[in-house]
Amino acid sequence: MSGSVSDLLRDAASLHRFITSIARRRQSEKTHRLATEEFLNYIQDLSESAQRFLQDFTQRVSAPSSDPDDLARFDRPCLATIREFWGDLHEFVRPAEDADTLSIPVALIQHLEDEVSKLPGLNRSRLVISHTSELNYVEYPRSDLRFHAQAYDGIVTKGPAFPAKMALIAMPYSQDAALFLNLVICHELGHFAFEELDFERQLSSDIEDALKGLEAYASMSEPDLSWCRERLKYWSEEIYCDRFAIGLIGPAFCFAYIELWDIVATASDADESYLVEFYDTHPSDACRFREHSDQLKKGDWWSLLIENTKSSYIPLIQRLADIDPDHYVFASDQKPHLADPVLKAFIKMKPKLADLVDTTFGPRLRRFRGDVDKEEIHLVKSYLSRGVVPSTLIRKRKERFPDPVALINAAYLFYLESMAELMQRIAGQKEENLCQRSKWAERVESWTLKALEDLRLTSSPLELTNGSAIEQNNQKSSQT
Amino acid sequence: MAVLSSRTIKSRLKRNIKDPKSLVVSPLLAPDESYDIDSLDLRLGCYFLVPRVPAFPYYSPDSQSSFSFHRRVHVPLGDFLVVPAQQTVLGATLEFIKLPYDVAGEILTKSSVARTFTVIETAPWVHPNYRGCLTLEIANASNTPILLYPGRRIGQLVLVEVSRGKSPKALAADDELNGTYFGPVFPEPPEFKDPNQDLERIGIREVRVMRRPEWIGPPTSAQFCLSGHYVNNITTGVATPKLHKTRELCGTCGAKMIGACPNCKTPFGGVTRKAHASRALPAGQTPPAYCCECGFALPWTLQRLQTATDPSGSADKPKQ
Repeated sequence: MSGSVSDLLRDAASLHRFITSIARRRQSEKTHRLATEEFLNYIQDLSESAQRFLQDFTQRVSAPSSDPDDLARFDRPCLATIREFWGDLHEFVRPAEDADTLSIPVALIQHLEDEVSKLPGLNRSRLVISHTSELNYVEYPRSDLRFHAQAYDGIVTKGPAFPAKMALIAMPYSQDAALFLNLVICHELGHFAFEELDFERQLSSDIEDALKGLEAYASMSEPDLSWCRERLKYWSEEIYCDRFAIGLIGPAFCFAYIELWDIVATASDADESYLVEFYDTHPSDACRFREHSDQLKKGDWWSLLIENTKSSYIPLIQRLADIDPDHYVFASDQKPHLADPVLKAFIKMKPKLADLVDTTFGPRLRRFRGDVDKEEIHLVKSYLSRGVVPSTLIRKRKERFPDPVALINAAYLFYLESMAELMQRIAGQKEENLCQRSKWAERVESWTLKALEDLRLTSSPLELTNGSAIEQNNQKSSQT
Repeated sequence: MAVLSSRTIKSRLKRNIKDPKSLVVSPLLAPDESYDIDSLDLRLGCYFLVPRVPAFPYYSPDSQSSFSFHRRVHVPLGDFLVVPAQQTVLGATLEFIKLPYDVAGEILTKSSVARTFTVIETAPWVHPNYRGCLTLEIANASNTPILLYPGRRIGQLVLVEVSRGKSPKALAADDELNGTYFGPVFPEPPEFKDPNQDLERIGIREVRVMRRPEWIGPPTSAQFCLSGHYVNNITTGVATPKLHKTRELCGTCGAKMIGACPNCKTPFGGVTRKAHASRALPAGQTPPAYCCECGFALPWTLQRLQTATDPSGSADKPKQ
């Protein structure tokens, strides 16, 4: 056997080990959501096809007729492509496996998956949640993965196709099965929708128009223009995602955003520059909250917040929204001379983003339903203040089931405004005791998640979370 | 004390949450089939606390016990949990309960479930004003593993009126909720104070406390031979315990040794090194009858069952 064949065989074996170690299911006792199961099964099938390919590959290269030049020119690069794709997958597999049903807010994820699947062009979307060590939520763009997958499919021809309409979203492991902060996942779902509905292509003409309106346009070089387009694309996508999240879940998203990024602390700083500053990939908080406020008004939520809520978050949103766009700042190190023009172009094209959100939701945009929502929110808060899961509400001796969005918003408002009401009812609890307060906050989240879970059962008793049906023929015994 | 009829239960369920006499049972799935004349059926929830292989050779009910004794497991609707023979798990009802201030309850095993020798509750009494999913102490008292399906009816709740008079204090009882075990939606491990704290309240100051062995490593693995003889893979009586090499054959009967369940490959747990080194346990240990993970009858159990059902030894003969 020649040296090059021997090297190739060693490399193929090393790759075989690498793939096996990624695809091996280590924690079989864990339960995962169906979407995660599907993703992990895809990985399993992919690894089997890769192993079959490598087996054939080794037989082919070790055949006496194999040409050493071809080995170096064609066969070795194949291994590199396979390794590169599995290198991409490496990032997802273990974190997805870690995010089992005990470590994520299953009922919330299920609700979001259902709602997104109802949107035009997004039916049968699946949501795979993984954990990340970063204190941030991330949606992995599938276009990068698809690019490598295409090259991979050209080599390993009999492998399974990458599952369609599958969102890969990572959440910080510390958030576990919490409800409130995990509402930021709605923003990440916006990235998924943006990519899946190909809005980048749709926006490109608006971006061009906005740039053409700039005085400096004529003098801009192609690299300058491409840099500007990139900024506008990033900022537009972020704003779209925020608006999408509010369209999906209402004001609760704004509360989660404020809490996660501690906007209260940023806003209390005498120096307002942090609030108005744009970054290369993200617009400023002031700009985002201006859009939040606009989307809340569009969905009629604003009246609820102004008239019926005591939380300090509402004046904060108002204050940030009121900051004049002329005060927004973008100080780019890369192209300082283009910072101002690109910011102006963005402010000009912002209204288009609201239209995109309208296109995404159509009539399914979750608006505030006036008295119906007010009543449900009031009832849910009343149940929570008595330590009761608010899944079946009683009003005038009649049962009613709250709408999930009203439920989530009511619970968040209760958490922001009325924890004292709950703690005062329980013997020995002091508001200033942090351990106790944190225990009851956790309870409020678990009651809300339980209510979400119950609502799914009461609304469609045969279609359960894992897709199985509950046994209907339970024999009812007449004896004790 | 009068047992509440289904009619009264339904009426209580329709009261406003602000009414201290209101009852909540939610979600009430297939409500038409859930009532008996004097009780309400409850279903099994999806979350369990499965006992761990203990790190210590005993269980001490003290302030630290709840952190180490159980492992949380989620079994989605449509799937099942295996409870091995003679084993226990903590489960919870699918329904969240809020009892009125003047009603107590008792949860009983459903008769069909009880006839499989499954017991769901050893502390069945539920106090007035309780709220939460009821934690169930599920024990499989039978000799075969049993499958538990979340979502199936498992118990029935009998409610009794408690005569507390109509004093203002009683009416305001809704505002005097007890924080212990309040509002759980998952099964909860027991909460204990340390024995000396508890006993001091009745004047006992000298309490003998079982010291936990010093933690010097994870539990060791154990091996059993196919006949059930035990070997802990550890040397005893040395300052630094060293693992034995895995044995191939049993020193007592010569049968093949195994270190894990032949079905699911879960290793058998041993005892802590320190506990073993201090000879807190005898060298011989009763082998488990069934795998603690998958409920598979282990080889020595199969051998015994076969001998018990077929004393003539003709079990291997093909049936005509």
